[in-house]
Amino acid sequence: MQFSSTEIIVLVVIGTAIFLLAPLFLLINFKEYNRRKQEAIEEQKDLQIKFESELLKTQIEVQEQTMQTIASDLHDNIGQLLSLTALTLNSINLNEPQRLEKKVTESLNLVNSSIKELRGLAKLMHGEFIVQTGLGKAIKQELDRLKKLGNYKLKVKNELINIDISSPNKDLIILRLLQEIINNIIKHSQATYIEFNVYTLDEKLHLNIKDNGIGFDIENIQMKKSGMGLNSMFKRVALINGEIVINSTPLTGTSISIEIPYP
Amino acid sequence: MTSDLNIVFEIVCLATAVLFLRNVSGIFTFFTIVYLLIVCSTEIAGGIWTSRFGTSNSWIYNIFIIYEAAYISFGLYVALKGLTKRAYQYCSIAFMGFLVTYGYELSSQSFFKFNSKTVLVFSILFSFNCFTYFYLLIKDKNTINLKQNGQFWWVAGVYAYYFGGTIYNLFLQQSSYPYIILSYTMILLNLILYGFWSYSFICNSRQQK
Repeated sequence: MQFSSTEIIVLVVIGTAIFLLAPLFLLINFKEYNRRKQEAIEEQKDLQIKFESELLKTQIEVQEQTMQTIASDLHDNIGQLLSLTALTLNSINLNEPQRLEKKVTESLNLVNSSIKELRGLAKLMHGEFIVQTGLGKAIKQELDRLKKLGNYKLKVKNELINIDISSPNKDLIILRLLQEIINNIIKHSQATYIEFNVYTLDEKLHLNIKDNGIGFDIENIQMKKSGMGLNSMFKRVALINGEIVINSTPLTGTSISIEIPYP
Repeated sequence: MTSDLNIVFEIVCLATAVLFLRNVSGIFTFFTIVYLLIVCSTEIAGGIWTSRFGTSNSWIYNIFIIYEAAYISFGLYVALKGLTKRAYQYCSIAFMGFLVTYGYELSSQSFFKFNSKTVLVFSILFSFNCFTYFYLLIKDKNTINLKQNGQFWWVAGVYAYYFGGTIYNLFLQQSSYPYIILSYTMILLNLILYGFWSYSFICNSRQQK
């Protein structure tokens, strides 16, 4: 088949244009793809910064709460015990030897109680250190402390003790959540029986706590937004991408289920 | 006239390279300037030969394409080695393909006839390597700053020149080809190639700052 010179010119021009359009199309697409990739990376960086900032904020909140608990314990418990000790010691009359022994024993008991409270506070303050030994062991120590109080019948299933995994960013938050729940039970629930069930399943940590206390109205408490309340617990669990479900029936008890991606 | 325009593009590109790459160290920068000097010398020598002796200057370009294939292969190797461990294989295959076709054409036709099949073969192989570069760049999790990435624009120029020149190379295989339109096509291709390369030298200079 013979082409005329005009046809050949048209063929060369159109053919070359097509073969030049392909690289042009590729370059435009690459530029767009590169821009989108850059945006995605920057968005991810922003999210990471936001997450770290939230995490830091929560850690500060947790520290703040710990300091408040310490201050409150020092004032309400240890302060009272020491004041009572001082009063008892002040009331000692050396001219009444028959009451001396009794008062010294009372003072000694009060001092021992103060020491016990101080140890409890020291353990609370050293949460970060405890977490370094593993979350399972930290939870065990916390529950042992509760057991020593002797006011509760406990049923504990802690499968984390023998697991050698950790998540430094999450561990302290989880431990503080547990401490917060225990403190709430001690202060408000009037419970006599508490169940703890801690385990990991499908890369998730499950923390289930159930008591037989007086329960509470969840909506009412949430509306108050006071102090380190339920809202703060919900916020902290959400921060580490977890879920928390609280069921409470007045006069029957409360159950709390926390599920957190782990490690 | 067409030859004059090509020389202008090449000299401008060489001047840009000397101006913007003078503070950019590296073996590839050195080869680039040397190669562009060879390009300009070849173009001038080819023009002088034709005007003085009135015969084909194809033998000059037959020598030149050895430098061209070597330089482009090395440039693509430098670009690909940051993206794949097989960069050496890709570029070796392209250069071997060139050598085999070149050897075949030297043995099958006169040295004074242009080795157009060799040019067609290495154009396809270089286009493939350029395409591989872009594919790997898209797959790479990192992004690049196009305003500072001279390498990207260098490969883009090579890709546009060799892939865009497919029709040109195909017509060059014919015994009687439409000379004028192919000359204009070559001017356009040269403008694209040296334009992209000049911009790549500016980007390299920006990156250095």
